[in-house]
Amino acid sequence: MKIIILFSLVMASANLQAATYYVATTGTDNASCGTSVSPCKTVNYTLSNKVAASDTIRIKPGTYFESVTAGNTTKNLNIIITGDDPQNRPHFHGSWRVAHRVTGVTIKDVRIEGDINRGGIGPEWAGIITINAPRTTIDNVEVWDGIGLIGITTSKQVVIRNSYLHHAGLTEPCGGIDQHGISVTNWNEDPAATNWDEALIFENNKIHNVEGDGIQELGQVASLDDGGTEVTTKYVIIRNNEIYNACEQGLDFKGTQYVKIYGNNIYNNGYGGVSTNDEDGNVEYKHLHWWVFNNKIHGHDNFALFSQEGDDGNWFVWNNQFYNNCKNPTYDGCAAVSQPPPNSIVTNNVFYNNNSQNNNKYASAIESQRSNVLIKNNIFYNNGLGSKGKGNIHSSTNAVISNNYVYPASPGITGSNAITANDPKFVNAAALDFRLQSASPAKGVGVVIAGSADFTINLDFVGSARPSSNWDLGIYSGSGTTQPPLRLSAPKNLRVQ
Amino acid sequence: MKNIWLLFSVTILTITATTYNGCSEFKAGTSETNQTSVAANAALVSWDKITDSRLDGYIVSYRSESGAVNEIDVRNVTADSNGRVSVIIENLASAKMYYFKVAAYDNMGVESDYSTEVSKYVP
Repeated sequence: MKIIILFSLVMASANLQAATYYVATTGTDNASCGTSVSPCKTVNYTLSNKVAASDTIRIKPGTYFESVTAGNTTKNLNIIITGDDPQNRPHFHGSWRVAHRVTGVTIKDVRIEGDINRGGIGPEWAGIITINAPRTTIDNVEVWDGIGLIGITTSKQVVIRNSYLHHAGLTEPCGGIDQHGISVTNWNEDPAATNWDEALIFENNKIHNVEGDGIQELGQVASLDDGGTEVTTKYVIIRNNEIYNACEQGLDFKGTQYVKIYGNNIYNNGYGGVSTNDEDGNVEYKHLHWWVFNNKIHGHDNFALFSQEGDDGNWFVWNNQFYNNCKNPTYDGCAAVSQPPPNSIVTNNVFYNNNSQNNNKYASAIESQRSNVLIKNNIFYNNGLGSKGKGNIHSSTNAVISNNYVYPASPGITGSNAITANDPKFVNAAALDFRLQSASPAKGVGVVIAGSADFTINLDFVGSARPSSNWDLGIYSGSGTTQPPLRLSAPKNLRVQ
Repeated sequence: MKNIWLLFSVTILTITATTYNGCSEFKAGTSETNQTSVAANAALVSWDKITDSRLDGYIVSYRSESGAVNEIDVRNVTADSNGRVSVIIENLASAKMYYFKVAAYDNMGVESDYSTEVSKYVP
């Protein structure tokens, strides 16, 4: 009981000490500034001269020409820097930085436009916002017109949510250097996260029109490039984002391990959807333990999901919609899902209309050459067509392939227990409605895939429980003739006057 | 249902619109073909009605260039003879560009994707 009372007192004391300071374009930086009536003029002055750890800075609406650095490793810890009115966020021209060892900073409800005169442009691994310290949160922030938009040079406990990141790169259309929406490196060689509570989290963001990748993770490469200690980035959660019109990939990861990618809509990125690859060919990056589920990944010239390296593995890929990828591949052998690593499970996905329009480059729905890859319960429909197409499944004998719907059955292979009827009887494939009609040959012919706490394959795309036997193929699970719910169509022909 | 509750909360906090048919948020928008006059600080937003029997309502999302997103729950609206649903959002701030988009939700509270976004400058 004594311990509880003491703890309560400490908390009360901390709350009483936290102060709020105001900044406004009409303010003045002096010893007495910081109240709502007499605000300071700049955030930097307030950070350097007014705040203590855990204080809050509220910024009044207006246009500010200031680059901001939270750089004091004592006074700037755990501070909150926020727009005073989330409906009318302050607009900054410049760049922001949370410096090394300044942990616990929250930046919210502001808009930051790159400004080459105030350090707001690049380099590409930095950003208009550069985060050098763990436990940083970015919330409801708009960032645009820079080289990098947000650069993270630490390894864990950074959250970017509800934010709008757009237009990285100054040479549109595509053709410039890597200029990413979010770039994760680890120049500081901070220790990697050790569990999901320490994860890097990117959620509910919209990211588009960037010269490089929507999000790039380069931690292992960065920690090695300067001859330092290798630190592999671990525990990354990417959920419910919309990522499109990146010149390179939507998500481009190198040696990242323990990654959950779910609920995202990733489309029309110039090169591909989600990839892991080798940065320079000299380091063996491992991409162990990925969970990719409930995503829509579509409309790419090349792959939807691609793992370049061959000796790592343990990916779970389920309930995804892969469609209209490999449209104009730049290499032979494009596949919507390309080279899942060893010991991966690819189950209950829909692959539809992944076809090359380039007569010189061939495509397929899935290409699998690695050992012990399990491919089951998927629907492959009209992929890899054309004179050079490789069909739906282009695989060596290393994969375990069964209980898939595969049409057309050739070229390519079908595996065992395949359903090859000429129509899967989607409710409406052209409208991308991949629910199954009650007469679908894909109903009730799947096998049960064992799940785990991190692998909830027992739930379908909309969260309906799959039965104890005879699963439906594809992403939806229905019971008898009952259709699983489908989201309503988006309203059309919106106008305003 | 979660989304609906959140929207309701937001609506209470952002009193930027007026009354529609006894509900709390909007004025009725009449057919565009009638060229309803809209106040300078208002926007008439319209779209094709959703005919799916599961439809329960719409979410109108709007934001100014510098502002956070407002989301308002629109129920019990009927379409005009041209099959258009419309609402008027009033009391918008002047000298700002506003962006609007609409989603539908069904009787399970599941939202559709948003429509394409449209914009209007409020002088």
